Amino acid sequence: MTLAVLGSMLRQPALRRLGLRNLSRRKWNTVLVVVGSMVGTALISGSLVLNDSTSLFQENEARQTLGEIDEVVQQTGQRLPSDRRPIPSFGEPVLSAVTPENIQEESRDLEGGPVEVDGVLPALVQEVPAEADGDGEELATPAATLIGVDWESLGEFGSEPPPVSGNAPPGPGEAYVSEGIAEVLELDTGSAVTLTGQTGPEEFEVAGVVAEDGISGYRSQFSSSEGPVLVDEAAARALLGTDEGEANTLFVSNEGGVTEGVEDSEEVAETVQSILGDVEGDGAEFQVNQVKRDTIEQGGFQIGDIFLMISSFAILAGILLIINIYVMLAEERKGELGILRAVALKRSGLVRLFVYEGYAYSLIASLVGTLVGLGIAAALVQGLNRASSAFEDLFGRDLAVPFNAEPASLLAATSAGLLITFLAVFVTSLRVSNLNIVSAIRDLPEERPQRRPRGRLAAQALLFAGGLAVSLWGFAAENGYAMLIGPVLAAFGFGFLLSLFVPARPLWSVVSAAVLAYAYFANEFEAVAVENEESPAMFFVSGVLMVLAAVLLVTFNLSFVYGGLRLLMRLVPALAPILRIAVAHPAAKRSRTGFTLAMFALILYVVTVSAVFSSTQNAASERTRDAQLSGYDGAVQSGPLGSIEDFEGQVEENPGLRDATEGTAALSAGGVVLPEYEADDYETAFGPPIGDAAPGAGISEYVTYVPDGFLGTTTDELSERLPEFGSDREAWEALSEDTDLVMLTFPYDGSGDFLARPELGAGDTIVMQDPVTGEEAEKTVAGRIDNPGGFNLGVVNGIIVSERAEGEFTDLQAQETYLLELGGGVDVEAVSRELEDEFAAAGAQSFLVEDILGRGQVFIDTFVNIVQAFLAFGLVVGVAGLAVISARSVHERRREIGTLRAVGFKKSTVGWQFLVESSLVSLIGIVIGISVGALGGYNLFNFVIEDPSAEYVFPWIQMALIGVGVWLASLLATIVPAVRASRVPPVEALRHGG
Amino acid sequence: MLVTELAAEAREVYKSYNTEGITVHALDSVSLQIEQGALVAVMGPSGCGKTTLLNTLSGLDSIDGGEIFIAGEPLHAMRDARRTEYRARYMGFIFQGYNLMPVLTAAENVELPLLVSGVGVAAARKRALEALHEVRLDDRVGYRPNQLSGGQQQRVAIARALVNEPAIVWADEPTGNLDSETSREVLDLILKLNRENGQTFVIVTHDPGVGSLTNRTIQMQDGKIVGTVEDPEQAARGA
Repeated sequence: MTLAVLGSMLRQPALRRLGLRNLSRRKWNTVLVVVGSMVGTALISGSLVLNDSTSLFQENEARQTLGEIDEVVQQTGQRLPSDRRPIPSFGEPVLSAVTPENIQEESRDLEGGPVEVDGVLPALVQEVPAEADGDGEELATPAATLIGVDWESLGEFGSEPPPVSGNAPPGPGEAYVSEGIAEVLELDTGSAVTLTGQTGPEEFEVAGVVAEDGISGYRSQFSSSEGPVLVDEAAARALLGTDEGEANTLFVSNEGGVTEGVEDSEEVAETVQSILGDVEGDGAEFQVNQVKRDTIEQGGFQIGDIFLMISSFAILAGILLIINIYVMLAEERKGELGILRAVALKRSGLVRLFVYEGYAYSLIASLVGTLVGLGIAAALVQGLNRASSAFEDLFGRDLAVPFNAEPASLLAATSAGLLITFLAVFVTSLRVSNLNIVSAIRDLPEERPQRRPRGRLAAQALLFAGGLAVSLWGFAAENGYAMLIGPVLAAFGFGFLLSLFVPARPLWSVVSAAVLAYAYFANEFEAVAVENEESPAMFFVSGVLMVLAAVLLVTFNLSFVYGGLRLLMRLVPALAPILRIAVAHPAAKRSRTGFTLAMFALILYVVTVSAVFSSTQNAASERTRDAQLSGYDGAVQSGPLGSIEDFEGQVEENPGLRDATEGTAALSAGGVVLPEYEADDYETAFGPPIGDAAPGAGISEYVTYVPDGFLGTTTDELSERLPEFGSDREAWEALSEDTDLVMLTFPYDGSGDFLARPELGAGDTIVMQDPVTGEEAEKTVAGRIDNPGGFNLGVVNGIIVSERAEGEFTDLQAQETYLLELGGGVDVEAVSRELEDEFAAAGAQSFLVEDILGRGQVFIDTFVNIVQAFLAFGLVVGVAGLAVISARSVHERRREIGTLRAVGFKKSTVGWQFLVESSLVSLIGIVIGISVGALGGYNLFNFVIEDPSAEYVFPWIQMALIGVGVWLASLLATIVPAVRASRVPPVEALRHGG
Repeated sequence: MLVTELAAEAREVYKSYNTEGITVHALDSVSLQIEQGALVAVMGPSGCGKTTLLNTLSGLDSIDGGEIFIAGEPLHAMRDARRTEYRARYMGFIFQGYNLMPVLTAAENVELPLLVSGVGVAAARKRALEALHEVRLDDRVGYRPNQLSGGQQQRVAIARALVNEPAIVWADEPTGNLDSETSREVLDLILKLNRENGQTFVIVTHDPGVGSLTNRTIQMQDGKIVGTVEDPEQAARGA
């Protein structure tokens, strides 16, 4: 494109000079046009650089926590992030089967050929509590990741073995500790650290503090471990009580470096799974986690993509601004252009003239925009880091995203910005060059041809037919995009055709109202709702359709909108002359007004939707605070060491906890399998079930045994229950009497959040199986817990049974959870600290609902604030656009202003008239954006999120403040043009008088 | 309407423009008196200063020296706001290019001087319709300027100029954009209004035909008044 334009410029030196002359001739105009045009590029550049930064963060994460590790093989089936039971070990058959050679051999028949693996490292891995003597005080953490490996094998693992393997092998009683652990426990080389495993506590001497790099930074997904402690294989075995020749984890390194190996991850996982299928037995179930891929791709989620989608609204607004500016520039120079056409210039010459000028603006704007985007990205990264810092101590590590701008992204942003701006300029140039020479020279209104040109008629008919065809195909193929866009295209095509016979206002009012209603209700179609849920682009398309339809509807009915103003004119005669003109101009210049309204409405739409999202989340979290943890206020979960011996006694002995605690309940949860259902048949909200369950494996689930105290006090509401129970309470209490009855937690709707779950409800029977012993128990579902919405803290999991049934599985490996009920007015932070200090040494982790929800809300609020700040920059499009349009209007209407001054308009009246005119347009645009945004937000919650517990909350005060703020900003932006208008002398009426 | 013998008076008025370093003396010691109810034509070659004379006499433009009185009030001494108010109340304007607001209907255009003078919306509309009736445009009140012919637009402009019942109406080449037949119609209308309502008209024109219809013709050249031709017959008619 650039070459074509530059080539054309070289061939047409006279036109080039004429076109480019305007840049220096009207400097302020150039500045305004560049500012208006660069916003889109800045937002694209900001989003792409944000993606670069988060990608680097993920790559760093991968490098730091995994290094050469691409896949992790463990024998645990699906596990929830909160599951801290010991990882079962396995022996020789598995260790000798999963080797690089076997993987290559087994993958020979894969479509892409055999996959290469350059390391398989057996290890013993488990989170264990760690303690050390600080300066006079006991320091402890409930979770350090113990890793026991053969040091020689570690040195040969992967193409770039982990740096820690270069250290001398840890001797018996020696350990390398990561920087994270060293910091928490204040350790240094030579210090002593006590690790507690299944066989009891064991003291180790710190052989060195190592950087978190690869295996020395390893943590399992969602782990809150402070970091790894590396010991010799034999030491780990002794601590965990594992037999000789056993491991519980296989680290697999694909061929290639830290990031390249991930490409073969799926094939390697599939191959290893297939190998394990041949060796596993006794109900043992393996999972092959593609940890590197998950870390780098984060489930395909890129935060910059969200910002790019949000930017799309501002970019579209920017395009409308560019079109508006160029049409105005052309109108202003109509006489000049008419003369050029009359003298010699062909239509194509006029197009070139505008294109050359427009290309120069576009180039400057895209370069400036890319640089401004860097600033935006830096601010976004800083904001994100502030948001994520709320969780740093929870995850025990630095979550700071580094700022990173890849040259390719900057180039892409500049090119995209240049292309978008230039295309807008080019299309506008084609339109404005189609002028009537006489009308242009004499400054007369363009005459419309009496008959519609055949080409245009054909295009309109094609739009109608194409829209119908797309609709038919979309509904047949259940394609959400086609189902949404097809009927809209057909409606516009039909409208254009009907406009031959029907007056514009009723016609376009009906068409736009129909499009608005359709775009809103299209989510009733499942294919559209699914697409909306999965693809941010759909959110953009449906939002744009709703906003533009609303703008069209309002633009054609401005007389109704201004009805109230007429009343005001009658009541306050002094306002009549101001309002009369202020209203007349926008009503008469429909396209310009429509474009300006759309600029504001598009951005306010997405601002509103994000505010609705935040307020609804806030309300859900507030409303469901009591419903979390079944009405309890906090929980302490045992670690891999099993139960805490005397939980209640410890609470009683700790004054801080004793005074704060009003009651406790002990739950015990173990992993079972639902053999009637295969995990492969279900998807979860986070993609495939965690751990890529082995083919044919049953669904993993938890059974939670609860005491009568819990059943008597739980506040969990039921979404359904057996008909014989008159109330939820009756149903809960029935569980303590009948151990064959179970209550299901949510969701049991055929999908699931972390774990796959079948669709089950009250009255269904369910078979639970111990995956180790194969023992089974059949239960009847008494009811199902309603999803409280908000953050699900996931402590009471899966299938709830009375503790009286505990022991039905003779060897169930269980994790204990102690729920705490706190008194009113307790210091949440102090209790949280006391809990950690009291139970960390036993490997138990604790949390308080208030604390977690508070952090979650801080994160969401900060994130939404960042989004809104980002959009505030987008609002520059609207505000700057209005300023540009007002400034150009003053120029364009000098003669009119002169006439008004001549017939008696005072300077101040003229100024006010301009201010009122601009602010009315911005106000209407703001109201449209917020109103349609309220609908869009409602739509999102009704059809897309489908959270029955979510209650739509519209943040009236916040939106009113934003609306007024934007309106005031637009008012301020038009003060200068208004003052300039007021200074136009009345004699101008005659100066342009011909 | 003000009761005074002179509708407008200029005493030793100077006006010059400085454009790109070149000073042009548009008015050079111009003095004149226009009686109440007169129909005066200002004529002369292009660039002689006749439009500048109209602009300064009407207060659209400021002067560099001298004095201007409208109905005995010193226009030259008024601040902009007062002058504007005065213009709205006591003057009407007719321009060669009609200068109607393209976004307003005929009635809305005519209402403007009334609204800006503080007349209520309903009363303004009533008087605008009467004015449009007077210029025989009852059937075009809801039309926008681009839906009207040149003659019709100029008649709307005349209605706007007269709706406030101004003491004096300034017309700058009112027939300059019109064909001869429409020009005649417009001039007849001006003559009728001058005769029947006694309003003072000052018309800047190139057209000798227009000049012949007035009761006084002021000739200008190089920013000076070089002659005045009285038409007793017209003067008698005008008086």
